[in-house]
Amino acid sequence: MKTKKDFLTMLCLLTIASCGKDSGGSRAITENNPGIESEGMEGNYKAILRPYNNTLSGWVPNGITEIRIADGEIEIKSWLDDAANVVHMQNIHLGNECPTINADKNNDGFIDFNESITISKKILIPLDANLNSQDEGAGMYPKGNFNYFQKASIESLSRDLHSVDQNPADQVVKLTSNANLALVGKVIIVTGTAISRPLPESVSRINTLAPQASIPIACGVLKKI
Amino acid sequence: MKKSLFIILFFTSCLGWSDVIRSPIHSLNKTMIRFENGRVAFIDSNEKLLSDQLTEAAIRKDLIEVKIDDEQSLISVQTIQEGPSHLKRMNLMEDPASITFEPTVIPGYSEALKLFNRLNTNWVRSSECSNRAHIWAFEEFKTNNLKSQKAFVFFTASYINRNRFKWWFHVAPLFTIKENSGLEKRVFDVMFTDRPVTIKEWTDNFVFSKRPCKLTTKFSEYDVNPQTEDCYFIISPMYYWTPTDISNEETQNRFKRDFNQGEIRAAYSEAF
Repeated sequence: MKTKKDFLTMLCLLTIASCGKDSGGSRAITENNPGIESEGMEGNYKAILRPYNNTLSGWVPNGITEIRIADGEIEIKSWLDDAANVVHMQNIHLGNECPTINADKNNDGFIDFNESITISKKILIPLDANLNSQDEGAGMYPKGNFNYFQKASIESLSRDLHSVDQNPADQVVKLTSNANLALVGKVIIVTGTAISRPLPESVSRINTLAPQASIPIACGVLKKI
Repeated sequence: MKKSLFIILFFTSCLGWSDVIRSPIHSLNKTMIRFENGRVAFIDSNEKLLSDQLTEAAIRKDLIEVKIDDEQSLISVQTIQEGPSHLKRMNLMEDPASITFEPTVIPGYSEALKLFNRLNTNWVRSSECSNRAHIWAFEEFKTNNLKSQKAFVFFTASYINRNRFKWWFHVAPLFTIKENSGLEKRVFDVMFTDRPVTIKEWTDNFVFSKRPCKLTTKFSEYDVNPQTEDCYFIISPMYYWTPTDISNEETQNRFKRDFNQGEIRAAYSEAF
């Protein structure tokens, strides 16, 4: 299985990555079920994705993420309207609030990714091509004005989120052993603006990605509905 | 399995290459079309034939569908429905009358926040701001007898050109709240803000220069202005649906004193 250190850097490999990748790894793990249950989590959740750093495009990005947990499965669908035809990373973060301009600690006028995660915390669930684990599907995010839909087994997702963090220094975290996968209040951040948009040097990068790919453009907080 | 996932994601990405606007034209000049739904498209001033076709569609208030590229330049035009039905919508407006409109005062910020959090969030993708705003205002009036106003912001041609901005106006409900120091106006735009915000906070979301929008009561001031401003701001009664209602008040002395049920149905149908 691919290690988490590759996470996000694969973004630039969107057109070639993972087509032949074996997705069986996370399924094999679930054969040793420790009894993780979705009881109490079942229901529908929704986050309105609202713009921030919105001086970056001629459009004011907006969207919605909806999550349904039922019968041991989690289904996530989201859409985003934005002017930039670029890859948009979308991730569920561990924190409980979207950043405001107060998080712009270097006063460059942008709340970059590093500044954002001081408020919204690190990434817990990448909304990429495979929800079953953080590693599988890494780097495969939607692009442009997108519609996204994926589903996974709660069991395999929970097992992965409670597994050992192979790379504690990166921007993706695991849950502690006694923590539940409680979605209410968790934050979804979407990144990515057009490469032609000028950004100051002070804007942080995610790994080796360009600042334009790294900068957040929309955020929402999950509520149970 | 992995391969098919990849293909799905890549396919959806292609949708970002062009955009479709389906709306009657509000107005147009040599280089810019402003649609009733708030969107903007740019045309080549040398395309006289196309320009003439668009002018006729604008006069007839045809419902047209245009495709635009990612720079908002017009690619193609198609007439979806000829104009009379849209003209009929205008004729449904109330007759002129001398009216006064007093918005309800919300007793404090905590009540305002409750109101904000109960506004309908089941809008559909690409819904029009005028329809969302109309339904939010209507539902609060119908359910809680609350009278609100509408906050209209109009972006000038120079601002639109400079930023390649996609809208020429935006609208949301405006509520009056009793604060310690007196009465305050707050914009309730659930799609773009997570709480009631001041007019300046609201317009800052769309006016990247952060310049304040000039307050006016005349649509014509925005329309014929030499474009020294980035934007204009107009407050109207909650019954006003689109900029056409505002310009009709000025040019034809036609006021709206009630919700028009046909407009409500149309707004629900498009936005929720």
